[in-house]
Amino acid sequence: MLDRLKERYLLFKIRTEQDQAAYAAIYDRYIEQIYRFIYFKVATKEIAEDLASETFLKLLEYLNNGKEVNHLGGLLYSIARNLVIDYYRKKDKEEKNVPISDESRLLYHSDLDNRLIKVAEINIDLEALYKSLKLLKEEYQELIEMHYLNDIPIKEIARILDKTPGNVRVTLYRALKSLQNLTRNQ
Amino acid sequence: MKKDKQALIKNFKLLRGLEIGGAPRHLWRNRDRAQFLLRAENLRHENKHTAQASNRISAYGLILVSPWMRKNVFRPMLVGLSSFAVVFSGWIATVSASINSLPGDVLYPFKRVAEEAQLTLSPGAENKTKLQVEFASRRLEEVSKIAEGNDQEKKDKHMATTLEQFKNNIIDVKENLESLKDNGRAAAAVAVAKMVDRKVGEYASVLDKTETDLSSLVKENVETAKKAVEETGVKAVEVMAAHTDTIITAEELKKRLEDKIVQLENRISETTNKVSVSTTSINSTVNTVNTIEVKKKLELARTLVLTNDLRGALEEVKQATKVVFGETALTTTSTPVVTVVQIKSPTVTTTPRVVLPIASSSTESIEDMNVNIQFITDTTSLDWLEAQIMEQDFKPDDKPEDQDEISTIIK
Repeated sequence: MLDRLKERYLLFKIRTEQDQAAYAAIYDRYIEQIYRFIYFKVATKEIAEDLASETFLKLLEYLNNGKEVNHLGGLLYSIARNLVIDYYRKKDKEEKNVPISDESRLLYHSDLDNRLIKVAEINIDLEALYKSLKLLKEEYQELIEMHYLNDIPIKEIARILDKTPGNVRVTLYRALKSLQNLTRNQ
Repeated sequence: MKKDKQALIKNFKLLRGLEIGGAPRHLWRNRDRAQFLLRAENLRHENKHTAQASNRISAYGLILVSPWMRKNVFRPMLVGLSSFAVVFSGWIATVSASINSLPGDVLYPFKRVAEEAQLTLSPGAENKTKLQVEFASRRLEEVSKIAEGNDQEKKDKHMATTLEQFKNNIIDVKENLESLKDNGRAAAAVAVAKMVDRKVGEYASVLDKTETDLSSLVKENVETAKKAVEETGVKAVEVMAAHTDTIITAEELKKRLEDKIVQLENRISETTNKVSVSTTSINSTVNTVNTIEVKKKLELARTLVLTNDLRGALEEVKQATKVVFGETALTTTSTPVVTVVQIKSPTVTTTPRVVLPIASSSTESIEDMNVNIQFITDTTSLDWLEAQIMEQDFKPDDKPEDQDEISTIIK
């Protein structure tokens, strides 16, 4: 709750004074989450970096236009998600036919092999984990990434995804179970 | 199963810290952050720096009231109303707990909310000026209290911010005085100008005392605040000069001008003592030239006061103020500037001046001012009102989650 109040106070500082420290606090709070969110949906870290930068620039535009922000995290994720969708829509012909919900499977580029090699060098369990994560359906992948990698509480995830906490809890349970099964089979 | 889950979670934690697990590269992150903040700074310069008062009130509402409550509970209640009378001594008592709070305290934003609300709802430039003076006094008081703290980093940060806010208050006072000079009622304008003139003297003393043991950034803030104070003091005298012989006597104005001359002379001695002796002859020559110029202007101003050319004297004082504060900047740079001194011949007026009795000035002190708000007629004020009502009823942690609880509270 204090987090939400703090967030609203930062937005207030931006709205009235365009306070630089408030902008910096918001950036520091969300950059890693947003980058990671995009990273798991795109092929390379360079693309993830570009889209993450663009997400925050779009946020600046949004705030600069004086639009009301009910939930900052939700807004950022929404901007990031739309940017990823736009990115894939602009891609070449063969990938245009892939349904949006299967975007994560577009990670079958050479970069995926490179990533797996790197993970395996560190820890074989991590390799299995990473591979399994990539095989999950997008909804499950997103929830696991948000809760276990980005440490976002369930209530917050529910707000971001516009779902009930109960719904998120159940889906997360299923996602984890699915991941465990996949990991065991690796 | 539980063991599996624990192992998974442990691996997630490991993965998270790796680039492969979505941790951004430090180099990219730092560069991107700098670009983001630069863009934010550029946007700030493109826009107006200060929000309109009504936007501020709505903005304060944002932090106090949840969007759900505003949309589903209070807006339906208040949407049909266009005006009503409310007496606010109740809520003032409530926010009085925040009156002694300092920057960095949890209650400090609420103190500022109350001040902004008072300013917005206060009618006329006279009342606004009085409030701005009061708030400037509070900012300075806060600066003094912050200076007593131990944490140097926090001290510097809060002092810098509070001094900046003080400076903005003082600039607002100056602008209001300008408006009063042109449009205000003569008696009220002079009364306010006298009050400001008295106050700026106090501010200058406090700022002088504050200047010890400060970081260079905060010292800079103190200097700009002093400049604003000095300019506002001169503006106050200007307002009085505009109404000399009708509201204020020439003798009183002479005294004020002489006080200003003395203040500037003290300022020059203070600045001269602080300037380190330069080893280059050019810099010390420049410093000497500027000090001489200012002293000449002040001498001339004194002469003009004696010969009753008060407007001429005021003009010299204004110019001297600009040079004095320009002098401070010059002593810290290495670029020499040559100024050409032009001495005006003093004029002697022979027109007899009729001295009228001084009109009774307002002796109302700021502390006596009641803030009973009678009418709220626009929806932005309603947003603020709504925010205050909400704050009366709810603490952030007590916010009701379900409809039944809300219905009970509304009843």
